[in-house]
Amino acid sequence: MSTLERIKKLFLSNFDFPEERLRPEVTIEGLGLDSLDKIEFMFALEQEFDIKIPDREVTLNSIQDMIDVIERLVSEQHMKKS
Amino acid sequence: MRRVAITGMGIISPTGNSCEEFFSNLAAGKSGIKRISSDFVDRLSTKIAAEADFKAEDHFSKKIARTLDRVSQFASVAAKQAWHDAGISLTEEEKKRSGVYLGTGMGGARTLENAYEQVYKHNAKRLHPLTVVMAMNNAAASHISIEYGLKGPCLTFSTACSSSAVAIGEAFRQIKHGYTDIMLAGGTESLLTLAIFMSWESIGTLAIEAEDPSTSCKPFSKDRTGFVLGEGAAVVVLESLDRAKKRGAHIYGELVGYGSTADAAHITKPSVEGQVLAIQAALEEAEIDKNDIDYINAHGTATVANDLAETQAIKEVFGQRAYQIPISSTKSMHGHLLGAAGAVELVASVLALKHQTAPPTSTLTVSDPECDLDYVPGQARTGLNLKTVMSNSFAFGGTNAVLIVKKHE
Repeated sequence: MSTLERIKKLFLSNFDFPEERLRPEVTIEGLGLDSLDKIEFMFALEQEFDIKIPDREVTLNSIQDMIDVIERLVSEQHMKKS
Repeated sequence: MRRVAITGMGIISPTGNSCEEFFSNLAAGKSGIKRISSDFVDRLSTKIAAEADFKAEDHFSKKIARTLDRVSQFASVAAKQAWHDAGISLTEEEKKRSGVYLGTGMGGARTLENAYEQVYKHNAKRLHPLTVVMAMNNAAASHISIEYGLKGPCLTFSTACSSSAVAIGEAFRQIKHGYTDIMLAGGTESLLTLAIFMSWESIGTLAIEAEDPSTSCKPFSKDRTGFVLGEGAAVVVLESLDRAKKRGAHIYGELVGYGSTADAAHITKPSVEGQVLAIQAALEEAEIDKNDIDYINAHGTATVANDLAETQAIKEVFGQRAYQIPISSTKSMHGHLLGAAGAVELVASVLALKHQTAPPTSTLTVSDPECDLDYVPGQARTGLNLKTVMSNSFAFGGTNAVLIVKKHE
Protein backbone atom coordinates (compact mmCIF):
# COMPACT_ATOMS: atom_id res chain seq x y z
CA MET A 1 0.00 0.00 0.00
CA SER A 2 1.34 3.47 -0.85
CA THR A 3 1.89 6.08 1.83
CA LEU A 4 -1.07 8.06 0.49
CA GLU A 5 -3.34 5.04 0.70
CA ARG A 6 -2.29 4.36 4.26
CA ILE A 7 -2.89 7.98 5.25
CA LYS A 8 -6.27 7.88 3.56
CA LYS A 9 -7.19 4.70 5.39
CA LEU A 10 -6.22 6.29 8.68
CA PHE A 11 -8.31 9.38 7.94
CA LEU A 12 -11.31 7.26 7.07
CA SER A 13 -11.10 5.19 10.23
CA ASN A 14 -10.79 8.32 12.40
CA PHE A 15 -13.12 10.81 10.72
CA ASP A 16 -16.25 10.86 8.61
CA PHE A 17 -14.71 12.31 5.42
CA PRO A 18 -15.79 11.21 1.96
CA GLU A 19 -12.78 9.50 0.36
CA GLU A 20 -12.78 11.79 -2.70
CA ARG A 21 -11.86 14.77 -0.50
CA LEU A 22 -8.59 13.15 0.54
CA ARG A 23 -6.34 14.32 -2.28
CA PRO A 24 -2.65 15.13 -1.78
CA GLU A 25 -3.14 18.88 -2.25
CA VAL A 26 -5.95 19.20 0.31
CA THR A 27 -4.95 21.06 3.48
CA ILE A 28 -5.58 19.99 7.05
CA GLU A 29 -7.48 23.19 7.68
CA GLY A 30 -9.47 22.64 4.52
CA LEU A 31 -10.65 19.35 6.01
CA GLY A 32 -11.88 21.23 9.07
CA LEU A 33 -9.47 19.76 11.60
CA ASP A 34 -8.80 21.95 14.62
CA SER A 35 -5.52 22.04 16.55
CA LEU A 36 -6.54 19.19 18.86
CA ASP A 37 -7.66 17.03 15.92
CA LYS A 38 -4.30 17.67 14.29
CA ILE A 39 -2.31 16.61 17.34
CA GLU A 40 -4.42 13.52 17.61
CA PHE A 41 -3.92 12.65 13.95
CA MET A 42 -0.16 13.06 14.28
CA PHE A 43 -0.32 10.48 17.05
CA ALA A 44 -2.28 8.13 14.80
CA LEU A 45 0.34 8.58 12.06
CA GLU A 46 3.13 7.75 14.50
CA GLN A 47 1.37 4.52 15.46
CA GLU A 48 0.60 3.57 11.87
CA PHE A 49 4.10 4.13 10.50
CA ASP A 50 6.03 3.30 13.68
CA ILE A 51 7.85 6.62 13.66
CA LYS A 52 8.31 9.53 16.00
CA ILE A 53 7.31 12.86 14.50
CA PRO A 54 9.46 15.57 16.12
CA ASP A 55 7.11 17.98 17.87
CA ARG A 56 8.12 21.30 16.37
CA GLU A 57 10.33 20.61 13.42
CA VAL A 58 7.90 19.64 10.70
CA THR A 59 5.31 21.44 8.61
CA LEU A 60 2.22 19.47 7.89
CA ASN A 61 -0.21 21.73 6.08
CA SER A 62 -1.40 19.33 3.42
CA ILE A 63 -1.70 15.61 2.83
CA GLN A 64 1.26 15.89 0.43
CA ASP A 65 3.30 17.39 3.32
CA MET A 66 2.37 14.34 5.40
CA ILE A 67 3.48 11.96 2.67
CA ASP A 68 6.84 13.77 2.32
CA VAL A 69 7.52 13.98 6.05
CA ILE A 70 6.45 10.42 6.75
CA GLU A 71 8.52 8.95 3.94
CA ARG A 72 11.57 10.91 5.09
CA LEU A 73 11.09 9.92 8.75
CA VAL A 74 10.43 6.30 7.88
CA SER A 75 13.65 6.07 5.88
CA GLU A 76 15.67 7.89 8.57
CA GLN A 77 14.25 6.19 11.63
CA HIS A 78 13.79 2.67 10.27
CA MET A 79 17.31 2.75 8.81
CA LYS A 80 18.70 3.52 12.25
CA LYS A 81 16.86 0.58 13.72
CA SER A 82 18.20 -1.89 11.16
CA MET B 1 -37.43 30.94 47.16
CA ARG B 2 -38.52 29.59 43.83
CA ARG B 3 -40.16 26.26 43.07
CA VAL B 4 -38.38 23.75 40.82
CA ALA B 5 -39.96 21.48 38.22
CA ILE B 6 -38.60 18.40 36.49
CA THR B 7 -39.46 18.87 32.81
CA GLY B 8 -37.29 16.35 31.01
CA MET B 9 -35.50 13.06 31.65
CA GLY B 10 -33.07 10.82 29.79
CA ILE B 11 -31.35 7.55 30.59
CA ILE B 12 -28.84 4.96 29.41
CA SER B 13 -29.04 1.92 31.67
CA PRO B 14 -28.68 -1.83 31.88
CA THR B 15 -32.49 -2.09 31.78
CA GLY B 16 -33.15 0.24 28.89
CA ASN B 17 -31.94 3.23 26.91
CA SER B 18 -35.07 5.35 27.15
CA CYS B 19 -37.19 6.26 30.16
CA GLU B 20 -40.16 4.23 28.97
CA GLU B 21 -38.13 1.10 28.23
CA PHE B 22 -36.26 1.48 31.53
CA PHE B 23 -39.40 1.71 33.62
CA SER B 24 -41.43 -0.92 31.78
CA ASN B 25 -38.58 -3.37 32.39
CA LEU B 26 -38.43 -2.43 36.09
CA ALA B 27 -42.18 -2.76 36.43
CA ALA B 28 -41.99 -6.19 34.79
CA GLY B 29 -39.22 -7.24 37.18
CA LYS B 30 -36.84 -7.69 34.25
CA SER B 31 -33.18 -7.68 35.25
CA GLY B 32 -30.25 -6.34 33.25
CA ILE B 33 -27.75 -8.41 35.20
CA LYS B 34 -25.94 -11.16 33.34
CA ARG B 35 -22.60 -12.82 32.59
CA ILE B 36 -19.98 -10.25 31.55
CA SER B 37 -19.30 -10.06 27.84
CA SER B 38 -15.71 -8.74 28.16
CA ASP B 39 -12.75 -10.87 27.20
CA PHE B 40 -11.19 -10.40 30.66
CA VAL B 41 -13.95 -12.40 32.33
CA ASP B 42 -11.62 -15.36 32.94
CA ARG B 43 -9.52 -13.29 35.30
CA LEU B 44 -12.45 -12.48 37.58
CA SER B 45 -14.03 -14.56 40.27
CA THR B 46 -17.22 -12.47 40.00
CA LYS B 47 -18.32 -12.87 36.41
CA ILE B 48 -21.57 -10.90 36.40
CA ALA B 49 -22.40 -7.26 35.69
CA ALA B 50 -25.20 -4.98 34.57
CA GLU B 51 -23.91 -3.70 31.25
CA ALA B 52 -25.62 -1.06 29.15
CA ASP B 53 -26.49 -2.19 25.64
CA PHE B 54 -24.75 0.80 24.07
CA LYS B 55 -22.62 1.19 20.96
CA ALA B 56 -20.93 4.54 20.41
CA GLU B 57 -21.30 4.32 16.63
CA ASP B 58 -25.09 4.31 16.97
CA HIS B 59 -24.96 7.79 18.52
CA PHE B 60 -21.83 9.64 17.42
CA SER B 61 -19.59 10.43 14.47
CA LYS B 62 -16.29 8.54 14.38
CA LYS B 63 -14.43 11.55 15.68
CA ILE B 64 -16.70 12.13 18.68
CA ALA B 65 -16.95 8.43 19.46
CA ARG B 66 -13.17 8.22 19.62
CA THR B 67 -12.59 11.34 21.66
CA LEU B 68 -15.20 10.77 24.39
CA ASP B 69 -14.67 8.18 27.10
CA ARG B 70 -17.66 5.83 27.39
CA VAL B 71 -18.63 7.69 30.58
CA SER B 72 -19.07 10.93 28.62
CA GLN B 73 -20.84 9.14 25.79
CA PHE B 74 -23.48 7.86 28.21
CA ALA B 75 -23.99 11.31 29.71
CA SER B 76 -24.20 13.03 26.32
CA VAL B 77 -26.90 10.69 25.07
CA ALA B 78 -28.89 10.85 28.33
CA ALA B 79 -28.67 14.67 28.23
CA LYS B 80 -29.84 14.72 24.62
CA GLN B 81 -32.89 12.63 25.50
CA ALA B 82 -33.67 14.87 28.47
CA TRP B 83 -33.20 18.04 26.44
CA HIS B 84 -35.57 16.89 23.69
CA ASP B 85 -38.02 15.50 26.22
CA ALA B 86 -38.19 18.93 27.87
CA GLY B 87 -38.66 20.61 24.48
CA ILE B 88 -36.49 23.50 25.54
CA SER B 89 -35.04 26.23 23.37
CA LEU B 90 -33.03 29.01 24.96
CA THR B 91 -32.12 32.55 23.99
CA GLU B 92 -28.51 33.68 24.41
CA GLU B 93 -29.50 35.52 27.61
CA GLU B 94 -31.24 32.43 29.01
CA LYS B 95 -28.16 30.31 28.29
CA LYS B 96 -26.21 32.50 30.72
CA ARG B 97 -28.62 31.44 33.46
CA SER B 98 -28.47 27.72 32.65
CA GLY B 99 -25.95 25.17 33.89
CA VAL B 100 -24.84 21.56 34.14
CA TYR B 101 -24.26 19.61 37.37
CA LEU B 102 -23.19 15.99 37.03
CA GLY B 103 -21.99 13.35 39.46
CA THR B 104 -19.49 10.63 38.77
CA GLY B 105 -17.46 8.35 41.01
CA MET B 106 -14.40 7.87 38.85
CA GLY B 107 -15.15 9.66 35.56
CA GLY B 108 -12.86 8.59 32.73
CA ALA B 109 -11.08 5.88 34.71
CA ARG B 110 -11.36 3.58 31.70
CA THR B 111 -9.19 5.94 29.65
CA LEU B 112 -6.57 6.05 32.42
CA GLU B 113 -6.60 2.30 32.80
CA ASN B 114 -5.94 1.94 29.07
CA ALA B 115 -3.13 4.49 29.33
CA TYR B 116 -1.48 2.64 32.22
CA GLU B 117 -1.67 -0.57 30.24
CA GLN B 118 0.07 1.12 27.30
CA VAL B 119 2.78 2.56 29.53
CA TYR B 120 3.52 -0.31 31.88
CA LYS B 121 2.67 -3.33 29.75
CA HIS B 122 3.56 -2.19 26.26
CA ASN B 123 6.25 0.41 27.09
CA ALA B 124 4.50 2.98 24.92
CA LYS B 125 6.68 5.93 23.94
CA ARG B 126 3.75 8.29 23.68
CA LEU B 127 0.17 8.25 24.91
CA HIS B 128 -2.93 9.30 23.06
CA PRO B 129 -2.96 13.14 23.02
CA LEU B 130 -6.52 13.25 24.34
CA THR B 131 -5.84 11.06 27.39
CA VAL B 132 -6.14 14.01 29.78
CA VAL B 133 -9.33 15.48 28.37
CA MET B 134 -10.98 12.09 28.11
CA ALA B 135 -10.05 10.97 31.62
CA MET B 136 -10.77 14.13 33.60
CA ASN B 137 -13.80 13.88 35.87
CA ASN B 138 -15.47 17.02 34.50
CA ALA B 139 -15.33 15.92 30.84
CA ALA B 140 -18.92 14.67 30.68
CA ALA B 141 -20.43 17.84 32.17
CA SER B 142 -18.26 20.04 29.97
CA HIS B 143 -19.27 18.26 26.76
CA ILE B 144 -22.92 18.83 27.68
CA SER B 145 -22.41 22.53 28.40
CA ILE B 146 -20.59 22.88 25.05
CA GLU B 147 -23.31 21.00 23.16
CA TYR B 148 -26.15 23.22 24.40
CA GLY B 149 -24.17 26.43 24.95
CA LEU B 150 -25.02 26.60 28.65
CA LYS B 151 -22.88 29.32 30.21
CA GLY B 152 -23.95 29.18 33.86
CA PRO B 153 -22.19 26.96 36.40
CA CYS B 154 -20.81 23.66 35.10
CA LEU B 155 -19.69 21.48 38.01
CA THR B 156 -18.90 17.85 38.71
CA PHE B 157 -19.58 16.26 42.08
CA SER B 158 -17.75 13.19 43.27
CA THR B 159 -19.03 11.57 46.45
CA ALA B 160 -18.86 7.92 45.33
CA CYS B 161 -22.28 6.28 45.23
CA SER B 162 -24.24 9.43 46.12
CA SER B 163 -22.49 11.63 43.50
CA SER B 164 -25.42 12.13 41.16
CA ALA B 165 -28.02 12.58 43.91
CA VAL B 166 -25.75 15.33 45.26
CA ALA B 167 -25.46 16.86 41.77
CA ILE B 168 -29.25 16.94 41.36
CA GLY B 169 -29.80 18.30 44.87
CA GLU B 170 -27.23 21.06 44.41
CA ALA B 171 -28.66 21.91 40.97
CA PHE B 172 -32.12 22.13 42.52
CA ARG B 173 -30.84 24.71 44.98
CA GLN B 174 -29.19 26.77 42.23
CA ILE B 175 -32.64 27.34 40.78
CA LYS B 176 -34.46 27.52 44.09
CA HIS B 177 -32.15 30.24 45.34
CA GLY B 178 -32.30 32.19 42.10
CA TYR B 179 -28.80 31.71 40.65
CA THR B 180 -30.02 29.90 37.54
CA ASP B 181 -33.30 29.12 35.79
CA ILE B 182 -32.48 25.83 34.10
CA MET B 183 -30.10 23.03 35.05
CA LEU B 184 -29.20 19.79 33.35
CA ALA B 185 -28.40 17.54 36.29
CA GLY B 186 -27.60 13.88 36.76
CA GLY B 187 -24.76 11.43 36.78
CA THR B 188 -22.76 8.99 34.77
CA GLU B 189 -20.48 6.02 35.40
CA SER B 190 -18.67 3.46 33.30
CA LEU B 191 -16.33 1.34 35.39
CA LEU B 192 -16.66 -2.16 33.99
CA THR B 193 -12.93 -2.50 33.45
CA LEU B 194 -10.58 -5.19 34.71
CA ALA B 195 -8.67 -3.28 37.39
CA ILE B 196 -11.80 -1.67 38.79
CA PHE B 197 -13.65 -4.99 38.85
CA MET B 198 -10.72 -6.51 40.71
CA SER B 199 -10.71 -3.58 43.16
CA TRP B 200 -14.36 -4.19 43.96
CA GLU B 201 -13.77 -7.92 44.27
CA SER B 202 -11.10 -7.25 46.85
CA ILE B 203 -13.23 -5.11 49.11
CA GLY B 204 -15.81 -7.89 49.24
CA THR B 205 -19.07 -6.09 48.44
CA LEU B 206 -19.92 -7.82 45.17
CA ALA B 207 -22.75 -10.34 44.95
CA ILE B 208 -22.01 -14.02 44.51
CA GLU B 209 -23.37 -15.28 41.21
CA ALA B 210 -26.73 -17.02 41.60
CA GLU B 211 -27.79 -20.06 39.63
CA ASP B 212 -29.79 -17.66 37.48
CA PRO B 213 -27.24 -14.80 37.17
CA SER B 214 -30.00 -12.22 36.66
CA THR B 215 -31.15 -12.77 40.26
CA SER B 216 -27.72 -12.40 41.91
CA CYS B 217 -28.40 -9.05 43.59
CA LYS B 218 -30.90 -9.61 46.43
CA PRO B 219 -31.52 -6.42 48.41
CA PHE B 220 -33.14 -6.89 51.83
CA SER B 221 -33.20 -10.68 51.34
CA LYS B 222 -31.80 -12.86 54.12
CA ASP B 223 -29.48 -14.50 51.56
CA ARG B 224 -28.14 -11.22 50.12
CA THR B 225 -24.44 -11.18 49.28
CA GLY B 226 -23.80 -7.73 47.82
CA PHE B 227 -24.30 -5.68 44.68
CA VAL B 228 -23.60 -6.13 41.00
CA LEU B 229 -21.61 -3.43 39.21
CA GLY B 230 -23.60 -1.53 36.60
CA GLU B 231 -22.97 1.26 34.13
CA GLY B 232 -25.00 4.05 32.58
CA ALA B 233 -26.18 7.61 33.03
CA ALA B 234 -29.29 9.61 33.78
CA VAL B 235 -29.90 13.31 33.30
CA VAL B 236 -32.92 15.41 34.23
CA VAL B 237 -33.90 18.91 33.19
CA LEU B 238 -34.68 21.09 36.19
CA GLU B 239 -36.46 24.34 35.51
CA SER B 240 -38.02 27.05 37.62
CA LEU B 241 -41.68 26.12 38.00
CA ASP B 242 -42.83 29.55 36.82
CA ARG B 243 -40.87 29.27 33.61
CA ALA B 244 -42.05 25.71 33.01
CA LYS B 245 -45.68 26.72 33.50
CA LYS B 246 -45.36 29.80 31.33
CA ARG B 247 -44.14 27.78 28.38
CA GLY B 248 -46.69 25.02 28.97
CA ALA B 249 -44.03 22.37 29.60
CA HIS B 250 -44.89 18.86 30.68
CA ILE B 251 -44.09 18.72 34.39
CA TYR B 252 -43.12 15.30 35.74
CA GLY B 253 -43.10 16.59 39.28
CA GLU B 254 -41.64 19.16 41.61
CA LEU B 255 -38.31 18.57 43.28
CA VAL B 256 -39.04 19.84 46.77
CA GLY B 257 -36.43 18.50 49.17
CA TYR B 258 -32.77 17.59 49.38
CA GLY B 259 -30.89 16.40 52.40
CA SER B 260 -27.12 16.18 52.42
CA THR B 261 -25.16 14.91 55.42
CA ALA B 262 -21.88 13.20 56.19
CA ASP B 263 -21.62 10.16 58.46
CA ALA B 264 -18.32 11.43 59.86
CA ALA B 265 -17.82 7.93 61.17
CA HIS B 266 -16.23 5.31 58.93
CA ILE B 267 -15.00 5.19 55.34
CA THR B 268 -17.18 2.20 54.36
CA LYS B 269 -19.51 1.29 57.22
CA PRO B 270 -22.87 3.04 56.92
CA SER B 271 -24.15 5.10 59.84
CA VAL B 272 -27.82 5.01 60.80
CA GLU B 273 -27.48 8.47 62.30
CA GLY B 274 -26.05 9.98 59.10
CA GLN B 275 -28.86 8.48 57.04
CA VAL B 276 -31.56 9.59 59.51
CA LEU B 277 -30.22 13.14 59.45
CA ALA B 278 -30.22 13.20 55.63
CA ILE B 279 -33.83 11.96 55.40
CA GLN B 280 -34.93 14.45 58.05
CA ALA B 281 -33.14 17.31 56.31
CA ALA B 282 -34.85 16.48 53.01
CA LEU B 283 -38.27 16.31 54.72
CA GLU B 284 -37.60 19.64 56.39
CA GLU B 285 -36.65 21.39 53.17
CA ALA B 286 -39.68 19.86 51.42
CA GLU B 287 -41.86 21.30 54.20
CA ILE B 288 -43.94 18.15 54.30
CA ASP B 289 -44.98 15.82 57.03
CA LYS B 290 -43.21 12.46 57.19
CA ASN B 291 -46.61 10.83 56.74
CA ASP B 292 -46.77 12.29 53.23
CA ILE B 293 -44.04 10.05 51.80
CA ASP B 294 -45.80 7.42 49.66
CA TYR B 295 -42.86 5.54 48.12
CA ILE B 296 -39.14 5.20 48.81
CA ASN B 297 -36.57 4.12 46.27
CA ALA B 298 -34.02 2.69 48.67
CA HIS B 299 -30.28 2.84 48.30
CA GLY B 300 -30.64 -0.93 48.88
CA THR B 301 -27.24 -2.15 47.76
CA ALA B 302 -27.82 -5.70 49.02
CA THR B 303 -24.79 -5.62 51.27
CA VAL B 304 -25.55 -6.95 54.73
CA ALA B 305 -24.54 -3.67 56.35
CA ASN B 306 -26.33 -1.21 54.05
CA ASP B 307 -29.72 -2.86 54.00
CA LEU B 308 -29.78 -3.26 57.75
CA ALA B 309 -28.70 0.34 58.43
CA GLU B 310 -31.10 1.76 55.86
CA THR B 311 -34.00 -0.22 57.30
CA GLN B 312 -33.16 1.04 60.79
CA ALA B 313 -32.86 4.62 59.55
CA ILE B 314 -36.25 4.51 57.81
CA LYS B 315 -37.84 3.07 60.97
CA GLU B 316 -36.23 5.71 63.12
CA VAL B 317 -37.55 8.56 60.96
CA PHE B 318 -40.99 7.21 60.08
CA GLY B 319 -41.85 5.15 63.17
CA GLN B 320 -44.86 2.84 62.71
CA ARG B 321 -45.61 4.54 59.39
CA ALA B 322 -42.43 2.91 57.99
CA TYR B 323 -44.34 -0.37 57.67
CA GLN B 324 -46.91 1.19 55.37
CA ILE B 325 -44.56 2.74 52.82
CA PRO B 326 -43.70 0.68 49.73
CA ILE B 327 -39.91 0.66 49.53
CA SER B 328 -37.99 -0.89 46.69
CA SER B 329 -34.42 -1.39 45.63
CA THR B 330 -34.37 -1.30 41.85
CA LYS B 331 -30.67 -2.20 42.07
CA SER B 332 -32.01 -5.77 42.10
CA MET B 333 -32.52 -5.24 38.35
CA HIS B 334 -30.26 -2.44 37.06
CA GLY B 335 -27.35 -3.17 39.38
CA HIS B 336 -25.32 -0.55 41.19
CA LEU B 337 -24.47 2.34 38.90
CA LEU B 338 -22.24 3.93 41.57
CA GLY B 339 -21.87 7.63 40.68
CA ALA B 340 -24.88 7.40 38.36
CA ALA B 341 -27.05 5.46 40.82
CA GLY B 342 -28.74 8.44 42.47
CA ALA B 343 -29.81 9.94 39.15
CA VAL B 344 -31.00 6.64 37.70
CA GLU B 345 -33.00 5.93 40.86
CA LEU B 346 -34.47 9.43 40.92
CA VAL B 347 -35.71 8.79 37.38
CA ALA B 348 -37.18 5.47 38.60
CA SER B 349 -38.90 7.31 41.45
CA VAL B 350 -40.35 10.01 39.18
CA LEU B 351 -41.60 7.35 36.75
CA ALA B 352 -43.16 5.50 39.69
CA LEU B 353 -45.09 8.72 40.33
CA LYS B 354 -46.02 9.07 36.67
CA HIS B 355 -47.24 5.48 36.30
CA GLN B 356 -48.56 5.17 39.87
CA THR B 357 -46.55 1.97 40.09
CA ALA B 358 -43.98 0.91 42.66
CA PRO B 359 -41.33 -1.16 40.91
CA PRO B 360 -40.39 -4.30 42.83
CA THR B 361 -37.35 -5.49 44.70
CA SER B 362 -37.48 -8.26 42.13
CA THR B 363 -35.20 -10.77 43.83
CA LEU B 364 -36.42 -10.62 47.41
CA THR B 365 -37.46 -14.18 48.25
CA VAL B 366 -36.08 -14.96 51.70
CA SER B 367 -37.23 -12.47 54.31
CA ASP B 368 -34.74 -11.23 56.87
CA PRO B 369 -36.28 -10.70 60.33
CA GLU B 370 -34.09 -7.63 60.73
CA CYS B 371 -35.28 -6.15 57.44
CA ASP B 372 -39.02 -6.33 58.01
CA LEU B 373 -40.47 -3.43 56.00
CA ASP B 374 -42.55 -3.57 52.82
CA TYR B 375 -39.92 -3.90 50.10
CA VAL B 376 -42.42 -4.69 47.30
CA PRO B 377 -40.98 -8.20 46.89
CA GLY B 378 -41.14 -9.97 43.54
CA GLN B 379 -43.76 -8.03 41.66
CA ALA B 380 -44.52 -4.39 40.98
CA ARG B 381 -47.49 -2.82 42.68
CA THR B 382 -49.79 -0.90 40.33
CA GLY B 383 -52.79 1.38 40.68
CA LEU B 384 -51.30 3.25 43.63
CA ASN B 385 -52.07 6.77 44.70
CA LEU B 386 -48.56 8.18 45.01
CA LYS B 387 -48.19 11.88 45.61
CA THR B 388 -44.72 12.20 47.11
CA VAL B 389 -41.71 9.97 46.53
CA MET B 390 -38.25 9.84 48.05
CA SER B 391 -34.96 8.48 46.74
CA ASN B 392 -32.11 7.55 49.09
CA SER B 393 -28.45 7.58 48.13
CA PHE B 394 -25.65 6.69 50.52
CA ALA B 395 -21.98 6.20 49.85
CA PHE B 396 -18.51 5.04 50.76
CA GLY B 397 -16.94 8.05 52.37
CA GLY B 398 -20.21 8.72 54.17
CA THR B 399 -21.88 11.41 52.06
CA ASN B 400 -25.64 10.81 52.19
CA ALA B 401 -28.09 12.44 49.79
CA VAL B 402 -31.87 12.19 49.87
CA LEU B 403 -34.21 13.71 47.24
CA ILE B 404 -37.97 14.22 47.48
CA VAL B 405 -40.27 14.74 44.49
CA LYS B 406 -43.90 15.78 44.70
CA LYS B 407 -46.58 15.26 42.09
CA HIS B 408 -47.41 18.57 40.43
CA GLU B 409 -51.03 19.49 41.00
